[in-house]
Amino acid sequence: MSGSKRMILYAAEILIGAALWIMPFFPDGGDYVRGLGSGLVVVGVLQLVRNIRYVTDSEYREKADISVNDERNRYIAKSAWAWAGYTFVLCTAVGSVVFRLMGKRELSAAAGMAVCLLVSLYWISYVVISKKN
Amino acid sequence: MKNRIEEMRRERGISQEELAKCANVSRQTVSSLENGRYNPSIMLAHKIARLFGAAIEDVFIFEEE
Repeated sequence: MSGSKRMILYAAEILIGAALWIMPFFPDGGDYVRGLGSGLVVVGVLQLVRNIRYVTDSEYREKADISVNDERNRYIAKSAWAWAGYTFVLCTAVGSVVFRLMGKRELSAAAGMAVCLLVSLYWISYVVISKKN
Repeated sequence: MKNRIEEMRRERGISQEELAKCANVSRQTVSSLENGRYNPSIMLAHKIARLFGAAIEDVFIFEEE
């Protein structure tokens, strides 16, 4: 995505965040929506500032491009995601059992479903990626 | 995988930073390659060998386990 398109995206993020903060249309989740709006505004501003630097500073742009495309960085990121996924499945599966033993059926069911969803997503991703390669 | 990246780099008077810039990778990647902590892809190995004007097998030493 080009620098100018990113600017538009981040500006939209800030506007949507501001709109969520201003509009009190949600009677039950008003605070949650306001928090979401604040988060969007903050993240949008930070991304915008970083993007301005990316567009105006050629040295920073070069470093940023190398950092993103560097194969070792990509390998580390993929490995980190893999470990995060394994750990998440393990902790959630254990959590599901613990919640059940504590008598918290809904939490146990939610944890169990989260594990099933992640394993299903993994299986689908594996099939799709293996067909492409 | 063992390699002669550091040796060949010093022979040519190139810094890690300069080699990283030429190979389009970060300086940390060059450092990890030299320490043997990271094995490059075939594309990166080929790029580095070409930068040194050498064959891949002269730069990277493949040893059967």
